[in-house]
Amino acid sequence: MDCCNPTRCSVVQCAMLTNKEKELIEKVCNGNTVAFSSLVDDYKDLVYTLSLRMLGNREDAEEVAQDVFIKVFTALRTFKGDSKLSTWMYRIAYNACLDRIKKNRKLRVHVEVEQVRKVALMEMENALDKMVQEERTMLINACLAKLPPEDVAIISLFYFEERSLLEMEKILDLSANTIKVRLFRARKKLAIIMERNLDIEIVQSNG
Amino acid sequence: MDKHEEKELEAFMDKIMADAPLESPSIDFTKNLVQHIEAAQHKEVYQYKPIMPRQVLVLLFIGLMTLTFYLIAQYGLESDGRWFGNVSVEPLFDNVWGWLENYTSSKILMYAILLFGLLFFVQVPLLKRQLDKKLMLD
Repeated sequence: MDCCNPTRCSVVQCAMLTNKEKELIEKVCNGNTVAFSSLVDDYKDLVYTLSLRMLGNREDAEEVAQDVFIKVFTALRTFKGDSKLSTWMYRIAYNACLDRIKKNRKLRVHVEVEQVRKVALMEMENALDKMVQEERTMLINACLAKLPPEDVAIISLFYFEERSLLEMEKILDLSANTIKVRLFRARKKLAIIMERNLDIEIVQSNG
Repeated sequence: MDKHEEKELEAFMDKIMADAPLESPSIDFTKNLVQHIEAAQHKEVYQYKPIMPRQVLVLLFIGLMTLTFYLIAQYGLESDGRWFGNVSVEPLFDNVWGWLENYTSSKILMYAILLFGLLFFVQVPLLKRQLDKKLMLD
């Protein structure tokens, strides 16, 4: 979008941004670290959660999240405002995580995309409903941690971006159709992992 | 998997993801981050920047070397009286340093001057280190 002049950090006209964001960006571009703190507080949980799910390690996730915000601080001047601020940040975070994964060369268990049983979804829903909230959250987080980084990222971003494929296209640099296919495969993988984990849970609870 | 099942899977995921809350980094995450950025900004203020850019220095060096080689190629290295051979500089210094010919000094004065010179050069790195510490504020 041509309305935004990146060199002057002038994002006042950008429709993608809220008034609060425009004001914060102007201040941060002038080196105001108090305004930057406010920006960090608004997005740190989202960026950290994405990093944690992709990297599967709290220390790495915190380090990457810090690097992401440092990059945001230095590159905010170049932000054109042609996407939502959150989308721009997720893009930086997603790429930073991929770089870190390449560096660490740690691969997670490969999950084969197989057919999810028809009845499995219902069974799983029932089993999950019977669990205490805390247990359910723990189990879901454990299953998400078993997904390959790209899959967990695509599922997380889908919900972070309120199901907007348009915004996801900008983050992942992929077409909407490719994202749909990948999203479907990632969901299937997660369902398979959940099914396996729930079986183990049920067997363990039955003694 | 048909469209209906795909929808069911999506609905199931919606339910799951609603139960996967956002994680939070450490409590002092923002504070540490801002401190880090402020320290980096401070460093930039005191960052050493050469007066002349590298390209200018390289150009000057190349120019000087070219001139030297040109002069050597043109006039040669021997002082056969063509280059500075004809210039006699000794009479110029006679008036300035002439008094030194008859001057004698004590050994103690010589040692004192030597010691002063030595300590002067010792002080240079010490002072530099101290000034660096003061200015960097790292």
